[in-house]
Amino acid sequence: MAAQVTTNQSIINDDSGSLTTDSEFQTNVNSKKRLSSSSNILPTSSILSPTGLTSLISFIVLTCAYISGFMSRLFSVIRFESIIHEFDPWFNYRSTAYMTENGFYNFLNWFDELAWYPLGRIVGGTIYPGLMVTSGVIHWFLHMINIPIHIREICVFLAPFFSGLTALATYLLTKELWSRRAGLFAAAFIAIAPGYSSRSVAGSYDNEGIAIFALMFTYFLWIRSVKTGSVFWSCCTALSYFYMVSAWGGYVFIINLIPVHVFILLVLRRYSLRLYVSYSIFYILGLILSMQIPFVGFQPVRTSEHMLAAGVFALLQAYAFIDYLYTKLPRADDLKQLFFGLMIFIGLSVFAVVVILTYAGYIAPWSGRFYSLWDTNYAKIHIPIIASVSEHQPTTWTSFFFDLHLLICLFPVGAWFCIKELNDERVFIVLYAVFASYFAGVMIRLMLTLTPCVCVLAAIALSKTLDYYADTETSDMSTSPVVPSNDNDENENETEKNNRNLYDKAGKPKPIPGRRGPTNTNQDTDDDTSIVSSNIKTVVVICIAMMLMLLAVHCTWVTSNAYSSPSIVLASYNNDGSRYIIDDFREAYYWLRKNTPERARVMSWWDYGYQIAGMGNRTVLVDNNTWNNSHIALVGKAMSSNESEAYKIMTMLDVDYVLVIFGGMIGYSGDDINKFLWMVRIAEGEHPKDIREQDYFTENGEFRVDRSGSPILLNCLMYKLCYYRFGELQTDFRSPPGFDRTRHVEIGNKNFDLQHVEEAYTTEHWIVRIYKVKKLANRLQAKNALRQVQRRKSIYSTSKKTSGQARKQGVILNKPQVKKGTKVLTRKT
Amino acid sequence: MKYFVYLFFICACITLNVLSEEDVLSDKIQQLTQWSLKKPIIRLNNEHFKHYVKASSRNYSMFIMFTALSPQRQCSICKQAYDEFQIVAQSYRYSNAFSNSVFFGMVDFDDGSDAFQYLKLNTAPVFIYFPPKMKPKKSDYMDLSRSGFSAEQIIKWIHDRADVEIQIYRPPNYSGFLLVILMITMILGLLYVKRDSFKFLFNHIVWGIFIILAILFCISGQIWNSIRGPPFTHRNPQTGQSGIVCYFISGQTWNLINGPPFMPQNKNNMGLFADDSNMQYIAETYIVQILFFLHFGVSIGVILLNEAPKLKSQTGKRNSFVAAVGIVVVVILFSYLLSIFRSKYQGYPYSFLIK
Repeated sequence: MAAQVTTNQSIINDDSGSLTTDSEFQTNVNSKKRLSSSSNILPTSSILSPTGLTSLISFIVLTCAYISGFMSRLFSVIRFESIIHEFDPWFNYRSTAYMTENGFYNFLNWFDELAWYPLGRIVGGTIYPGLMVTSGVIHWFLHMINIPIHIREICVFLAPFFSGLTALATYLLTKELWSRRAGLFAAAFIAIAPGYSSRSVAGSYDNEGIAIFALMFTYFLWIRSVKTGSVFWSCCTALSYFYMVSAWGGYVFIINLIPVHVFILLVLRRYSLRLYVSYSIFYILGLILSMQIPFVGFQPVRTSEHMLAAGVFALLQAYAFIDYLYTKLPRADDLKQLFFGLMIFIGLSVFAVVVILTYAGYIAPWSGRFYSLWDTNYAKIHIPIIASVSEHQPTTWTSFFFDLHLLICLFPVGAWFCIKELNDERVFIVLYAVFASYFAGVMIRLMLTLTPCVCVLAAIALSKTLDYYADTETSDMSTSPVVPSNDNDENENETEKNNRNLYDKAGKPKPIPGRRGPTNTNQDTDDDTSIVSSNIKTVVVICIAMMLMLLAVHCTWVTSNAYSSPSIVLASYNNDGSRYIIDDFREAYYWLRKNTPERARVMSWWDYGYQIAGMGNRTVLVDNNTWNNSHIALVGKAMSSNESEAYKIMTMLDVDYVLVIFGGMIGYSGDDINKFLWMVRIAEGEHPKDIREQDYFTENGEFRVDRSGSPILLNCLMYKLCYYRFGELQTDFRSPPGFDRTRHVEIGNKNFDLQHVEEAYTTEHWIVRIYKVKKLANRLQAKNALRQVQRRKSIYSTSKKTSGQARKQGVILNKPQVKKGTKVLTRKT
Repeated sequence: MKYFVYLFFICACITLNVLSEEDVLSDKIQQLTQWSLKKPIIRLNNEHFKHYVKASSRNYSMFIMFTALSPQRQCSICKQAYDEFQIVAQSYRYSNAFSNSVFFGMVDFDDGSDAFQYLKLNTAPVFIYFPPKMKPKKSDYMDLSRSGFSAEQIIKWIHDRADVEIQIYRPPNYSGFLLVILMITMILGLLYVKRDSFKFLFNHIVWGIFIILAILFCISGQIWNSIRGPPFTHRNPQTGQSGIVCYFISGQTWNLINGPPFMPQNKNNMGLFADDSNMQYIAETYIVQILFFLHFGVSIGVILLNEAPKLKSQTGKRNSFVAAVGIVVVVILFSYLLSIFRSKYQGYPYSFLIK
């Protein structure tokens, strides 16, 4: 069968391969070409056994998928250099480097002093160490065989390397679910699908890069263990699950999806001992293993996210027991309804126990991030910091199409086929499809978990279609002797059920693997004659091949244009097509590294925390690990209040330098002014008395920085730091001085001086501006001291607290001042 | 018992009838407290408004909702806003924070048109905070267009203005619960009637269609519509929000649906549409439906392709025909999909059959 399918592809690909010039696509086509050229040998040479041939073809296709998956992720390395991208990868890189230098145990105990000044951060207990350990192991291995490679190169190329492995895992999963041919398609799809390559291009050294491989591999092992019911495979599932837990917080998806699968199988009355063995072993082993990760700890037994797995485990035990009784009791059939009622009762009581434990406080309720998946307005109201991240927004239709193109259209078809020819493992992929598409719709970031599923189901749809249509030579009896043996071999590892079906069909010219049920026999008789005329078959195959080509071109285009930008090095193109590199970020961070005192503390918005710590090696107040909302809100408050207010906060936090990102000079849209409203919003959440979002809008509710903008906005620290001396600069001959090219307006407040900060450094294109916070001026010392005494008095007089509180005054001198400020303000208004 | 005490107290106050200013004030407070004990929201007419709110000698603050509840005004939002406001007032009434310095009131346009004229209001509903001894400032008007009028938002606003912490207590909405119960009993009854043949439950086709529709709903961006709908449409979480309800979509959503915001020429188009809200509503639905059916169509086409060889016919012409229809549907609809995508995503270079 495989041979026949590919024979037709060879014709098409030979015709069309010359049309495309894109190198990436070429490799993809080549993979099919090579596969087909070798398959052409099939009828002629009887020396090569069909078994060997199918394996060879699969091997070649998978190798090509691996290589094309790896290569298509290297655009950014070729265009720029081997560099770590974006924000989070910088932290991962920094901690990996720390681990390779100081060893694993020191890494687990690492207390990071450069972050969250003055709090610091316990790194070992607050991260998933899988990524660092993986690259550390690779580094260690390469050094052992005397390849002295720098850890950075490993970090940069880890994600493409693992995306190749993901293709293999997807192949294995699809092979278990449908057939080998569908598996090859799925491997080719996942290798180039933009939905996945968006998170795994070279340089984006992030958890997701390896986690998707772990996800797919765990699913494959799970399906395998459900199929075989062997202890070995379910142990492997648990181990693979352990790797996933160590790598990514998305492991919750696995530990909920697998129980749902088991539960639905129970409901569908597809319970079997295989299921019992595999789930019991997987759950217990997986539970114990997952609790070994410090960051996870006791969560698997204490939080609601994991309770589904525990509940299903209890239910399965009860079900198994009742099932056992059912076989042992005489005249059990009479008690059928009793057993049924008992089952429902146990199910409800398990549910009730979980609910009661949650109310009693033994189990933590759903955390905000998970809750916001169900109640989609939750985050918007309660946790602005989650809602502020752009990848937590709901997904538009456009981005579905952008990331998956043709596959998104074939995806429901695959699900349909799986439902029509349902068996234990296809229940799983259908459930995966439903849940993943819901989550991907709610949060654009979870497109990543949807992509593998889409690839699998689209491959199934396509392979089933091509099984029939690419097979123009059904009437040609010369191939028929080959086919049955071929198929038997192919399905060697599949379950008995499938094999039995194949034996039924043996000798038939066109067996369709995977199809079963009574309808089959009717069709088999029909299949003897070629029903659809071969012309139409050819047209269908050509059309599908053209759409597939379009898919490959699209994927390459998207990966190269949209997802391969490191975002710390920007590129712009001149009119003559020459490229111009804007390297302001690294310039600024390098300046920080070389020109500031070693213990200097830099205040910036949290987005840049990891980069400052990673590249600039300086202490930051807040960073991308947004664990302390009130600290972030304090920084937001400093940025959004006027200069003297901000100075109080900055001296309180011991800030030495302030760093802002400003894109108005060259039209870089991701700058701090565009993010400013989120700073205001987050600050408002913690300090509603001092910061009000409305104050930053004009009367019409617009956010503008030009003359009609609100005066509070035009005098806040962020505005001043961004536009300091910008009014003197004429960016263009046609525009007035002080013309902001990102927002296309002339700024409203031009000539102002800074009182408490002074400009320290501004990069070439003004993207990064660094200011030094002045020390308290000498002359004001006496006055200040006097004022301070007064303030203390007022604290004593206004506060209702007893003298016990006053004793602590010396310890946190600055804190009461802030509180006092808010209180006095409220009473006046 | 409490009421009697209060009544007695008030009677005593009235009989004393001393006309000093403080007594007038305490008199007012007495009256207001009495009213608000009876009913959490005090209904004010013209005289009441003048006497209790407009008068500058006031040491209590009031949150007043200006609305038009009578049915001939046809203000459906007013009713919803009134319900939310009532929840807030109710929660305040039975909370610990209840005191005689903050009151909740309501002025209906038909009772108190003078109050509307006095504040120069020409829309409803409006929430205004009257701080003690002062006239309301600009910031004392609640910004409904931005925050919506859900009880949570109102409480946030109240906390902001008057520093009163109210723990919200929503009376559970039994109607939704009852509906669910009814549904479940109906389904169970149906199952009981059909208890001999559970076959229809195991029918793959039914479940299949259901699941496919669910998936299509998710991947054709309908969730985005339902989340990004304005607060007016699905503000009540208890009634359950479906995507279909949320076709009433704000201009911004429309703008984003129709194209990324960086396209200036599209924004000009928007100006045309935004004037007429009905137009937008229809167009919006139209676009969303098309997207939904395009996906659906492509899927159907592929399924047709696969069903084609299974059809029973003598000659095979019918099978060929179905297969041809299938591939034509797939190709045409997919290229149409691609061309829509192209029009949205400026600078996308590829197209297939249709430009």
